[in-house]
Amino acid sequence: MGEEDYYLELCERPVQFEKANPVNCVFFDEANKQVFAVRSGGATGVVVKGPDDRNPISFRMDDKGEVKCIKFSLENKILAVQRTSKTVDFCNFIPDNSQLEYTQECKTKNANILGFCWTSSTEIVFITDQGIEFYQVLPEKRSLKLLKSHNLNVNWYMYCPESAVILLSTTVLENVLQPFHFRAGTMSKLPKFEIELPAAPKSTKPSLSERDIAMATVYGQLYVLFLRHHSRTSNSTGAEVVLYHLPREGACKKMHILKLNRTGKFALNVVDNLVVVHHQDTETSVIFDIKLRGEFDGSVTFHHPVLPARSIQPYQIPIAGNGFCRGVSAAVLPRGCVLTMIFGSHIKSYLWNLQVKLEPIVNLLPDKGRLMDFLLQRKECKMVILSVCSQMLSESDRASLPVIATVFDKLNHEYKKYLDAEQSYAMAVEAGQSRSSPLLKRPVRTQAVLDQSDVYTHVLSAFVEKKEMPHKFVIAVLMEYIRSLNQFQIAVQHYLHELVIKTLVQHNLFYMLHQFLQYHVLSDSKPLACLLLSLESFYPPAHQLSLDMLKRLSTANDEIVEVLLSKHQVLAALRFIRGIGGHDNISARKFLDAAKQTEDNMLFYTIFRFFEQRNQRLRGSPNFTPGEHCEEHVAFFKQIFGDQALMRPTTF
Amino acid sequence: MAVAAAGAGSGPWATQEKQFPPALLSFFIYNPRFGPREGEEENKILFYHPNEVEKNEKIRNVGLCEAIVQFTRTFSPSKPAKSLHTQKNRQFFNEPEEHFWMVMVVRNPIIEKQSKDGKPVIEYQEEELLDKVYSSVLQQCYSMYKLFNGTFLKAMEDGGIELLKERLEKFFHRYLQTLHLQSCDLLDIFGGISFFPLDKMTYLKIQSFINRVEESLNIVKYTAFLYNDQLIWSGLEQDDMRILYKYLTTSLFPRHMEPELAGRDSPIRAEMPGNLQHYGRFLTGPLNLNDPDAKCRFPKIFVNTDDAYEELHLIVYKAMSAAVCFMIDASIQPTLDFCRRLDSVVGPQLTVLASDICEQFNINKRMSGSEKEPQFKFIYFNHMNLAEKSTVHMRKTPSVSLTSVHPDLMKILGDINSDFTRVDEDEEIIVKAMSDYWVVGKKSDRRELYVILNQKNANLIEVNGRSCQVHVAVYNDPSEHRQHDKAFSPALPPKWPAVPTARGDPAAALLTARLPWREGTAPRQSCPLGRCPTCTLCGNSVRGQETLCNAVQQHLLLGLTDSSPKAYLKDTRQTFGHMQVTGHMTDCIQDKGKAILALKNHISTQSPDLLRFLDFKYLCGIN
Repeated sequence: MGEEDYYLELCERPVQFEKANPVNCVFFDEANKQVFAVRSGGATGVVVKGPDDRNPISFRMDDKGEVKCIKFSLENKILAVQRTSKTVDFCNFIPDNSQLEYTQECKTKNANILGFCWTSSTEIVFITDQGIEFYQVLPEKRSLKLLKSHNLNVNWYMYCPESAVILLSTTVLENVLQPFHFRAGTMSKLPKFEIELPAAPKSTKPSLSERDIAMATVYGQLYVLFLRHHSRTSNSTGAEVVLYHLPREGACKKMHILKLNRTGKFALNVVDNLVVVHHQDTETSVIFDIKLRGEFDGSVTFHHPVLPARSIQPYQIPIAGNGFCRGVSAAVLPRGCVLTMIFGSHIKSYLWNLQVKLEPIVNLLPDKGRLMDFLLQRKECKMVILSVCSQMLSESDRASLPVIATVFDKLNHEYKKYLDAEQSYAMAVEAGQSRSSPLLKRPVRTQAVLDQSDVYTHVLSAFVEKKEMPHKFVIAVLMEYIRSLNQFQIAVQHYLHELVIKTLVQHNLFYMLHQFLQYHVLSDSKPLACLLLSLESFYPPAHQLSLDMLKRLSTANDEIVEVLLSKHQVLAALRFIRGIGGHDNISARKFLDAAKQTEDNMLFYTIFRFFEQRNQRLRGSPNFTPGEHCEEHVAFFKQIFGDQALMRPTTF
Repeated sequence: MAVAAAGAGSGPWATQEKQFPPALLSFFIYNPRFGPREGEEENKILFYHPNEVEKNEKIRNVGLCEAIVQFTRTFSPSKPAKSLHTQKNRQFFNEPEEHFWMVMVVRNPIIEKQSKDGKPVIEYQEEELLDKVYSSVLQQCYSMYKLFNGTFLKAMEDGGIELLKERLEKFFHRYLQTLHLQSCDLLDIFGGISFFPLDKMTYLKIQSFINRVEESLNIVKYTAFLYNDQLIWSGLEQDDMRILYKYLTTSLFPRHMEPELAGRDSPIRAEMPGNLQHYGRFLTGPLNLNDPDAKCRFPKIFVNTDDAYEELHLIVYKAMSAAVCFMIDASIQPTLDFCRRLDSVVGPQLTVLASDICEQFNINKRMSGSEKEPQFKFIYFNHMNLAEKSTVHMRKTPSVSLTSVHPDLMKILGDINSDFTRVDEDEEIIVKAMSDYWVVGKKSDRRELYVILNQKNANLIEVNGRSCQVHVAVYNDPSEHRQHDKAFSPALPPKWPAVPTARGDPAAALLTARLPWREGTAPRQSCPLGRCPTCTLCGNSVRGQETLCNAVQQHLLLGLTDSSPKAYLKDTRQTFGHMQVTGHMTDCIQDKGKAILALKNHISTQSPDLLRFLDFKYLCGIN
């Protein structure tokens, strides 16, 4: 297995901490992604390390007994420590507030605290075996205020910090789940739902294990992931992960089933909206993307792994003096959004973030359409997508035109979605809705939005330069991209058209160019018209095409006059400007100059007389004003045709 | 001659008259180098039609042509005679390849009258035939031969004179029978291509289709796509496509009646290979793909004969109204397998595409509204892309091209075209023809537009304004809308209504086109130039005739000034070349023969080349 084959890797900078041992207790807080190392109950020090912050927080606290759980509130304002099954101790970490500890006992009598979760910087939820209690912490008063509570029997609980939802397991079979949602001092009960347990042998009591449940946000939606193990009685081929969608409002619904096709111990992760399932026996992982098309049976969609199973790329830990040591997975795989793998080494343990490497996937997923669907949903996809595009146009890995078309369509579909969102935002802002509606947000441009300039700069401009490419293919690809843009009603930028023209001109395919222009495949623009004009010496009809284009633009009248004058078509220029009613404002000098240059005296006469008549009409006299600077031409006219040929002012 | 045309067309022919259209008398090809010595003259002749003619007469006729060409060469070394006019017939000469001459002799049309004593009197109409039309026909003969046989020289290289003779005999024996000289007209001069109007998206779909097919059937070298006998895409160069288009639309397509149109139980349909998935079928090549013995023989064509000299197989495949020509290198013999593959790749896609185009076309048609029979007919041609459009001609059939107007009008169109050819500059000619018909010809930036109007008691201003409107309508015809030449050429004559709103908005275009046409023209009250007290010819006051004067000044060519001699000259040429102007202007000319002469002198000193435009003898009866 080559190195380029691994599509999962560990982050660059792991959180390093001392290994757990009788004196050193290690805790992990998923909400803040912090690792707590508590030595001797805190008396000899507590070290808190997060994945992002380089400076660990370290402090000491009195050893008041064994620490069961320790967590900071959001923003590290208040520390909560659970040491007994009835109470939780608090300590302010806010400057100017007393650092003396204060304690809160759970309200329900005879209840045992199973754990607690911070839902904001000052709000905390106690989960007891008899219900939940929602408190507000008042750090300056060093006390807590009960906001709300709810009684029910709890087997175990689970918290998803991103969505602030707590899931409680109730009933004997533990398979009825009651979600609660917390926001700004309110607690709301969501509809409960039941997880279908697989049929088990009668001898064993079926129950839902906490280890088989995870909660995660995938594509902005909260899902409860249930790992359903392979049951011997059923004839299913292996374990599967069932995704229950937990909406803000409404009932929970079974939506997706991820087929694992193997049995054994598994662990789940969600990374970049992908569900990653690790299989312990084989030490490999597979990924699922619920947005990719699966088999839909009318209510549930079945998914298969996007890619073949692979190990996570081995990470080498440098150890002073010892060279490298290959870490071995300690198989501690907590559920949630971050994979924490603790590698046992000599003295240290590590916490890592799991990352998806996109480059290897390019070669693992031969179906380019599916590959695009997959990549477009990833966070860091832009450069990879561009490289895929370049690759499919390369000599060695050339894709067929239908495939190229599919890829372009997918890119432009995403691009169009963004443009539409942008447009409706702009319209809403214009309509003044921005103040009234707080929901209005400027659309975020993700990396999946690849506009024309991206494709042009990174893919097409290099592609057309390749000498070894048959020009037929080059033109076909360019036309395919333009077709795709048109299909999504995206205005095509002129530089793409220029690329087409350039390629056609290079291969002397002027007639093709003519046909494209004839059907307006290459949209009108001033730069394009100018380019055409420059082609006239190679292909004379380009002149007509260019002028037509300028005329259609209707904003390029000055250019048309200039073009005609430069071709010594003085009369045509004058006719044109008269046709659009601009002949009263033009410079007589310019036209007379051009007429003189033709060395055609009759033409000069005609033009001269035209302006005399204009003067007569506008000012009542055929003479030119000094401001028009036509003295030279008047003199020339007299010289050729004589004084008497000048127009006499008519008097009525 | 225009007067003759206008006069002759003033009514139906008298019953006692019999009319005989022009006919092909003979057609021969020779090379003087092949029999330079006396007694070997026969060797010069490569092909002679009719073959029955006695040998000596053949030699005599060829010798005569040779002599005429040689004789005229002494006067104009680069451009020897193109045609010879005689009372009974007209001969056309063409040298398509060096020393190879093609000659076509056409008998003038005949009118057979009954004289008073009952004897038939035959009258040859010497001036009826237009040189340009029949020269073009002759050139087309060569182009068509070359398309299917390659150049004369190539045949000589391949197998000497014998092979060349054999090929000529084989080709022209059949081809000459399809020449319908009586119905040749302006369109033969243009040899244009009718393009199918199409929106951009559908066009891009077709592009995509062609590119994909060329990729999957990689032996395909060129592709052409037609719909409804109109061209949409050509991978061939313009000149090759022009002649191939001619072949397809006048010969191949008409021979294959649409089986889709035939009834379900008709024998034609039954012959079709039973394919339920699509409507695709081969127009050239195998008729039935299921027949293992089907012959995969395709006609060969020769293109780019000037440089690459490519020999290709022509595969024409059609589904509903969409036809595609695939051209593959002649060195590769297409097999039945290939045909089956082509059928399976192209058939379904083309069927879908054809119905897409049809749908799109109908949408466009609906958008343009139910067009009533327009009050005018026109022919449009653009030299740049060979785009041609005619509402004068009915559907082409293999035998004749039917026109919906009187032949005399067609003749006037041809005359105007001949006039246009003489000058490079843009111009405009208005002709009053018989029975309230007006013909307007405009030439601008290598485009030509001919409009035939029928309006009772119309005057020049009205006709001019009217034709402007036609122009607007033609250029902005929504069916034409996204097609070629939507734009006005900037070099069009002045006073043509600008249509800024027409762009991208068919409705607006229509609106503009349907404005009462008088609004587009100069009002009667005043001269567009601000003053018009005197006639440009005689200098007399023509206050009573402002209208006419305005019109002349306004539309005639320059329209910028009333006193430029050059402008004036063209005015007269146009005015008198084709128009019977009544009233003041005519009087001027006839009474002021002196003025004309003076003018003639003036011009001959100023710009002698202009003189040839003026047929003074004809104009004024002065010599």
